[in-house]
Amino acid sequence: MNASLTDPFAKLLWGGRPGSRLLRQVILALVVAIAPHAGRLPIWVVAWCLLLWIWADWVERRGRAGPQPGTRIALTVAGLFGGLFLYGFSFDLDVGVGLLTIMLGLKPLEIRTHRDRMITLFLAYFLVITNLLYNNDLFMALYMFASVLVTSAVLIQINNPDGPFLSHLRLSGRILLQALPLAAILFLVFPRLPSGLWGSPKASTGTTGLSDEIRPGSVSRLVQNQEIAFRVEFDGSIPPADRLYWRGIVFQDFDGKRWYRASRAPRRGTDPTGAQTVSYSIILEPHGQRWVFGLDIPFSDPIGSIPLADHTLIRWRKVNATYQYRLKSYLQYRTGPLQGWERLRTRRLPPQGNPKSRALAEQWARDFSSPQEIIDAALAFLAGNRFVYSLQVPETKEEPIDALLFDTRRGYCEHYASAFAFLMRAAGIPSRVVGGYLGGERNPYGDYLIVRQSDAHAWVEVWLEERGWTRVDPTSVVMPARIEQGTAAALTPEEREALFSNPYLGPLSKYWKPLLFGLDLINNRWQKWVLGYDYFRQRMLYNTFGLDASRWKAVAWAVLAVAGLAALYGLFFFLRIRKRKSVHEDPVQRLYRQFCRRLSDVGIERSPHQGPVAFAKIVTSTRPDLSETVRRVTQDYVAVRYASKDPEYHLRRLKKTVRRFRPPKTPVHGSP
Amino acid sequence: MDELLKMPGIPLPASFRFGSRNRARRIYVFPTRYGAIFLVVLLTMLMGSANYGNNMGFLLTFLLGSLVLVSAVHTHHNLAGVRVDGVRCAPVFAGQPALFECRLRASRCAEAVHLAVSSGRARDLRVCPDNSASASLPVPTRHRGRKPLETVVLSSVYPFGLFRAWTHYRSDAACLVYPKPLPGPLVTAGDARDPGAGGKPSGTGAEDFTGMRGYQPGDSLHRVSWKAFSRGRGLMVKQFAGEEGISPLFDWYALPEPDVETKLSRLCDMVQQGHRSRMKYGLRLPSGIVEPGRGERHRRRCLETLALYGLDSASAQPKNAGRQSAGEFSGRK
Repeated sequence: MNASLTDPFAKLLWGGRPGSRLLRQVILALVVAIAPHAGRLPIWVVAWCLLLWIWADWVERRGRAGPQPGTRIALTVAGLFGGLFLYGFSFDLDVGVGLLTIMLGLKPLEIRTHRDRMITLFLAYFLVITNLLYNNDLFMALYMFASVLVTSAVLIQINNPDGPFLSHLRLSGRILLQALPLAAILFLVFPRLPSGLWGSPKASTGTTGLSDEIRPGSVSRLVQNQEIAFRVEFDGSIPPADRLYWRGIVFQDFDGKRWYRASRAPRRGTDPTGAQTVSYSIILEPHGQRWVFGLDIPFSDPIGSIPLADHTLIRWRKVNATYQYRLKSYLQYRTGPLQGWERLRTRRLPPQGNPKSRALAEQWARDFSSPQEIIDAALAFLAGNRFVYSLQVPETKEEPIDALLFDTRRGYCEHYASAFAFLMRAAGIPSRVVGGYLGGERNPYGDYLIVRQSDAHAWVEVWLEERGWTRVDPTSVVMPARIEQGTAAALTPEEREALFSNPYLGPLSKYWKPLLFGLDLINNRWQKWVLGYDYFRQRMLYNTFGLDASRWKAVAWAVLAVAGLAALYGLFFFLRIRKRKSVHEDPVQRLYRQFCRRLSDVGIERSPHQGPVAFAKIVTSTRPDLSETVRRVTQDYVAVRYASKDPEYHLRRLKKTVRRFRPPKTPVHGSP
Repeated sequence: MDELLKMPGIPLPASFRFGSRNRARRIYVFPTRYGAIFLVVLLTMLMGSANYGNNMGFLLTFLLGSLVLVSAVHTHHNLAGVRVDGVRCAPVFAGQPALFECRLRASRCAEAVHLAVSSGRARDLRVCPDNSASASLPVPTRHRGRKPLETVVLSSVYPFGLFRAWTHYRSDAACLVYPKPLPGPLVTAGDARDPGAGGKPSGTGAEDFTGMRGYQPGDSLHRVSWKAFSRGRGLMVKQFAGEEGISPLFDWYALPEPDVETKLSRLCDMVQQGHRSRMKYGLRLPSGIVEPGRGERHRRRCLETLALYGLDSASAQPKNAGRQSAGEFSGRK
């Protein structure tokens, strides 16, 4: 009867031109998947995608013929080579994502069939994972779920084009929720590797945070950067603020202007001795370099890192993903004798330059006998000559240390550290500059420290005969507030205003800080428990179940267990969904259906054309023994449905009768 | 999709019966080629995540993997509630496609249900408990007789298109296929004795008005004299010359064609002609005589006799398809 309708629909579904509604939804999935990249991608890639998508939609909506195959090939080649050219023919993650995006910009123009749509959506899923290589925090995770939700809803839509999108979205959400527990188990059990499969990917996000040299501006440029460098959770209480020196890089080589990292520092030979042990764990944000941070003098070996002789730590490979590690540090320590490799390098200065400062230091060396006295003299010099702690430092090309000490008297921590180390070396005391972070902000909800890029700091270490390497922070005499109250307190009011003002929120502003802390707490837990789950934590988890993850048998067991769990999970849904009642069926209908099912079990089927009364007649004729019940059920059913004297009563009775109705397979004679 | 339709399944038990609740219906679930492609995408993502040591990547990969698994269950359940409730088919002439109309019922709403036989398929359907849906399956016919409906495959790839669930439906429904009409002159019983007079013996049957008689049930409404009715004379039927005498019997033996099928095709055409000119006609076949009559029902009876002529009665007349009209569903009795 609707044979004439059948064919056009079949055409639409199985080979004809796709509807523009479907195309628009596929584009929607692409937009959602690409959106987080938008800020990272070059602007012309974004423009390319938007223009091509608008074109594709216009073509489809107007029913115009799309671009010729030749044009499409030309566009593809132009996109690829244009992309490679503008990226400078290098290849890293950025370029990969860029080229993938360029191709996905073109894709909607050539979507013709069901197959094209399916493949495009698979690519959209794939694009979601590339977002995760850049950003790992909780908000990205939530976005990931949203993205999967939308893409899956579109996937449902293209497989059932007639349905409304909203209901697809709902179903997609339901399937997502049902998949979540299984995904969590797989996440925990799937074997992790201690290192990557093939080399580490090239760093592409660029370096954030400290760089491997100290020069004017290398620390102060970070003051405006509110990004989180790392988070620290202490096993006990948090040490006082003036002890929170986070050592990252040691700079030993000075060329007159810049300090360079001690690149050839050997592995740590002898462990330092000390007291006041602190245990803590750090979640380090990716910064694209190998160094990792520890409090003061760390003395344990964190998993995945190597301790060096200058008491810094180096990761096996660049920190391109969140890195979580445990450490132990001494707050009071002795590093022992000066080692062979540092003996010369920590005294060496360029032969010329900064003559005034040299003269001053040599004067101190002549006047005082002990290094401690020289240090005190230098600190007194910095404290007494009205030095200013400021971000606005006049540029000096020649003799920067002389200029700072005798002329401008303005500088930030790296200037003072550099000058102080120079003075020490000129006076004959081994010294070096240490870069890292100072302080941190305690999150009142989570009891952990947040160390931001703006906490970056540089200080000096001098080597003393009786104590070994000893920290001296010239900033502490120039601007004591920096040590105790953090960066913001050390700045002039104008600078503080310019850098740290919160967005204007009116009366809500007092909730701003707590809100930020709360969000950061959630993010911190996420980092700790989800992102920090690695090979070692997995081994610990396996151990709790008595499995040794380093043996293949254990892994096989775990995989088997997961497979079993997955099967059970599937079974659970199988049964649960089967039981689920139809939304559209009302209780009366359901009862009657149940009644018919019971009869069907004993071989009496109701044909679709038979009404309840007609059906009752047939049942009564074939099975007289059931006639009483059948009569009553039919009567009640009809009464509830059509007569409305007392439907409640009939419904109750119907329920009772049907529930108890268990017709025997063979007729029972002698019953009423 | 076509190649997948032909995937070997486990043979069904002989006692298999559709629509009965006490026998489990077999539903097969297998990944589609898109499922296979997606698996490759997932493996790529897994390798990438392992290499980068990216836990979020793992999470996404496992989430999508679980999504796929859960969707397989949904695919199965989408189809599990659907059954073919009945099949009907209007008779056709050989050479025309037989359109089997399958009515679907569902115990809960099922989306995008796809019906197919090897020769054709129907559009995707949505079936809900409160409204059944029908799908027409075209099956080409070549010979007269009964064209049985082959095994119907009900399938669905809903929701994600990554898995396909399918089940078989076998019914004893068959479509009556009339012989293909072969145009030619009318040949009646008398013509055999007097071949020279062949041509149009009753061509005047409906033309020469001879009088009126009272209406009897079964008379064509075309013949009712509405003029007489409007004058209050009751229902009168016009009578024409040729009806009074012996009605023409289209005669098997009078046909010059030697071949059985050709004879049947010729007779089929005559029945159509006779019906169109609203004359009274009958058939004479070696198997017996169809008494003259007229009207739609008579035409069908004649055509059916021709369609089934000489066919084994057991296979030609399945239990419930014998007198089935185009308006009834069969298959679930």
